[in-house]
Amino acid sequence: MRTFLSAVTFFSALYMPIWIFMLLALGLSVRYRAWEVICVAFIIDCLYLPIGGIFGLPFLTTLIAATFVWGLEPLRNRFVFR
Amino acid sequence: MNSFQQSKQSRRTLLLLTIIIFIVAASDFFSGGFVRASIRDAVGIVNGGVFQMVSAVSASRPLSSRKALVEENKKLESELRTILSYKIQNEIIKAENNALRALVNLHEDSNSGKTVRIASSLKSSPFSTFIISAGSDAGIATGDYAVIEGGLVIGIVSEVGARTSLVQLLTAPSEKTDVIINGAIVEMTGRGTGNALSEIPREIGVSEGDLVFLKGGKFIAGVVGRVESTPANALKRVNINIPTNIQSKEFVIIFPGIL
Repeated sequence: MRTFLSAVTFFSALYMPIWIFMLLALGLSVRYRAWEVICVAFIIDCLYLPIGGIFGLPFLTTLIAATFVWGLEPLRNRFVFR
Repeated sequence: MNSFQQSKQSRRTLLLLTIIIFIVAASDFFSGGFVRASIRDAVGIVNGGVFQMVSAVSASRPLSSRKALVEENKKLESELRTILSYKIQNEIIKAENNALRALVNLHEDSNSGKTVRIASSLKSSPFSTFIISAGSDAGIATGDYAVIEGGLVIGIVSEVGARTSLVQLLTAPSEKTDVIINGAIVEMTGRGTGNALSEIPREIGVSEGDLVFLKGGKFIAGVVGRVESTPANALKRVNINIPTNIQSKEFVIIFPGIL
């Protein structure tokens, strides 16, 4: 299931609107310690974000993805691992 | 291994991979985009293959019947005749245009554009950018214009790799561009989704449907939409739109920047 969702997340990053990627990333982050979400977000930044970033923030999507994955750690611990 | 140990190990893996990704990101940033250029080149090659495959499949039409093909053939012949008549008209207008140019001593610009394929989906780009499948190897440079039919500039090349380049849309949020509206040079600020805004002095006459030219006067940057003016404000807000669906485009023409 995780591999399938990760593959869909990767394809959504390349061919679908960003909100679909965000929803999938959020879903994966809630259920798993999904390091692949950060990887895909990094690819999005490399593909579409100019090197200077946006609003002075380089790697914005990677930062958002890392926030999802690490920020949801307490919730995962509470509901998934116990 | 019990679930607690598994959890601890997966947490360690996540931490390690997060650190690795941020190290790669930092190295990309400090190397001036070495990693991103490689990723764009790879995606450009893959997407080029995907587009060619889709074109080949749609061109072969394996499921079409003979009758449908005959009908399509007739339709295409009719379209061809129409296009030929347009071509003749075009030649006449071109000759007339050349004669008029000669009268006012205008010399033809020797710069010609390069037609390149859009190698990324505009739908999926969250930052109003797209990748084109040509880079410094094809003579593309930062500041070049990405133009579509009708001389409409949609973006400016912002980063160049060896085989791919990144184009930033003129209508990207907060993107500022100098444009000419009714002879006055003003600043246009992108608002996203194919819209931009410009604040111009009230004395400059402007109405809906006027063309907005990029500074330099050669290319169109958009069309004036709604104009908002109030007696209390010395400036009026001019909404500028791109009168075409950029997302449906497969190719752009890259012209050297003139500014």
